[in-house]
Amino acid sequence: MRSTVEGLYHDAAALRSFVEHSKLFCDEARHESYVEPSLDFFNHIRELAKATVVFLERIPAQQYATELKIRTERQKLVLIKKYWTVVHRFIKPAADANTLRVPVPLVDFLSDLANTSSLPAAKIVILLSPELNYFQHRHTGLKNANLQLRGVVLDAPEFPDGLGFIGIPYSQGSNFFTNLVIFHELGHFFFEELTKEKELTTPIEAALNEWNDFTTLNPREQAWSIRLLLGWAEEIYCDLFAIKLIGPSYSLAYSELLNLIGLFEPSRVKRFSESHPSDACRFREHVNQLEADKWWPVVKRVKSEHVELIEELSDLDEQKYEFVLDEGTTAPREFIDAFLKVLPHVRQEIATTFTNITSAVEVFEKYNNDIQECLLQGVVPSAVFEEINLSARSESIALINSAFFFSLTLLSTLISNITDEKPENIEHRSRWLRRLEDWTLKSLENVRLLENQRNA
Amino acid sequence: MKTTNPEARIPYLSMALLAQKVIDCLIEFTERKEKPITFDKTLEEALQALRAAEVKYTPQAPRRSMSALLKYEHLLTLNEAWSTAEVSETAQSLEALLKSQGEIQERMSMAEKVIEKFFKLENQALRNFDRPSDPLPRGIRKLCEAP
Repeated sequence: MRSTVEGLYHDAAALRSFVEHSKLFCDEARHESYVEPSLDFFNHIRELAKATVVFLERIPAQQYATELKIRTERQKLVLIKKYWTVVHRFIKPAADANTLRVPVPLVDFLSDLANTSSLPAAKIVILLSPELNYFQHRHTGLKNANLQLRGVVLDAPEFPDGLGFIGIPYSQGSNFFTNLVIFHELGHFFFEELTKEKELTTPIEAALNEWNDFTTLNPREQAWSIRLLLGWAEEIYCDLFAIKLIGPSYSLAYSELLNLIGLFEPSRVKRFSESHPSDACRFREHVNQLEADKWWPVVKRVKSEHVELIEELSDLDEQKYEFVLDEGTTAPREFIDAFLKVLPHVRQEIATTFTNITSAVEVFEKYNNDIQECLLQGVVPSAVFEEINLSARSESIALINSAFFFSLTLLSTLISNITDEKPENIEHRSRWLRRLEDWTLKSLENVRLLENQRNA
Repeated sequence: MKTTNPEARIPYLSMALLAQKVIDCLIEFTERKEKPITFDKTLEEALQALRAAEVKYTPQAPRRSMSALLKYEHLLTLNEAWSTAEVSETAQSLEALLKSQGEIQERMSMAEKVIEKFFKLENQALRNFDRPSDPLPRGIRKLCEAP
């Protein structure tokens, strides 16, 4: 079929409508309150829409002497539309995530932690997702596509520096403890931002090259294998990243999340998939990191199913790990053997990511009893730190971990202390868990305010 | 947690956009009979990527740097769109165009052939962008089936 100028104009008009309707959501977001990065994102979309419309309106002014020229212009419209389809997926979930629907103190804490841990500046846009899962949306992919797009739409704005996206389930917006897994998602952001892929590719290639069959594969198959191990390494990096930032509460949140979405089948915990290393392998690395940061003796003392589970999985013999492809076929064990050789390099990358942060375990150990006593009395536990001049970072980490352990071990005691409330009543339990989460969030807000006051 | 999500398909879109930049440059060249400002930079980027795609990693020759086209998604698209011989031929044509080798008419007809090649590549990249997941490479499947 021949491409006509009429067809080109038609495509351009349709694309203009699509872009303008997508932009409307950003315009409407002006009436709501958002965290700063979301506003930056909406501004970017508005500028992108403006540049796209300008590009489309210039189309009739050009000469179309050949069919090739028309075909090329139409192809460009296809590409621009595809780019907008990607962007489109972000707009509504970002617009849904106004400050009434996301745990703002947690998001602030996340940004503060990133900024005080010698990491590059990060501006995280929270997206409310329909999936019961947490996602980091690959911002570098979007950044690279934006770079190429600017070769086609010349006025298109640059993708904002340091802007990343984390999707949380819309139903869990106010659920504090489970939302701690967003620190793993933050790890994905920094894995990309700090180009850890580049650092880990060499040890991955070296490990795979020790396997004879790998050297017989063609370049595409070798690239597939490297990408597979890189994906697993990235997951471990992000787990360790989260533990480095917030301590054992990440491991607890992760095991809680897995219970929630029903993945903890005994036969599955040893299984590597195309996208993830096995849970057993992940928990083994969690325990290693917790030991290195001196958290593990503290965690081990806590009598809870979560801790038992972490211990049991981390102890699983690594010879039992297996790699099963998404379609159900068992893949050669050599992939796992090569990956195990890469793990020390992942740990090394974590060490180079955090060069000067100390574990908050000492603060936790010193104040844990006081924090938990406050919670037992129904007092917002930031009160413990009112007269003490510590960093908001270590105070917050102590508070989060203490409150999480409290939820696993002392929630029943708290409920029993309250007239007419019963720990075995699910409604009561749920209500007091929610209260506990609210007190913890409020504490984070308070220690942040206290630090700002001290700094002022 | 990271799972398959639509953003994982973006490398294909980047590849299609890069192919489009090459096509734009070459069309402008064929229309005006002179190189546009972005000609050298864009063709050089594409050429380097094609050359990198021909390299295989072995312990004796480890990969030296991450190039734009070295990602699995890019190698897959190249393999699906062009034969190995076409990769080499196109790389040679890009090289000749960059060095302005031969008569102008000869270069114009070479540019037209390269445009068609890149259209094919761009369309394959767009098809891959639209499909939900990639097939398992044959060599990997064979390894899984081996006793």
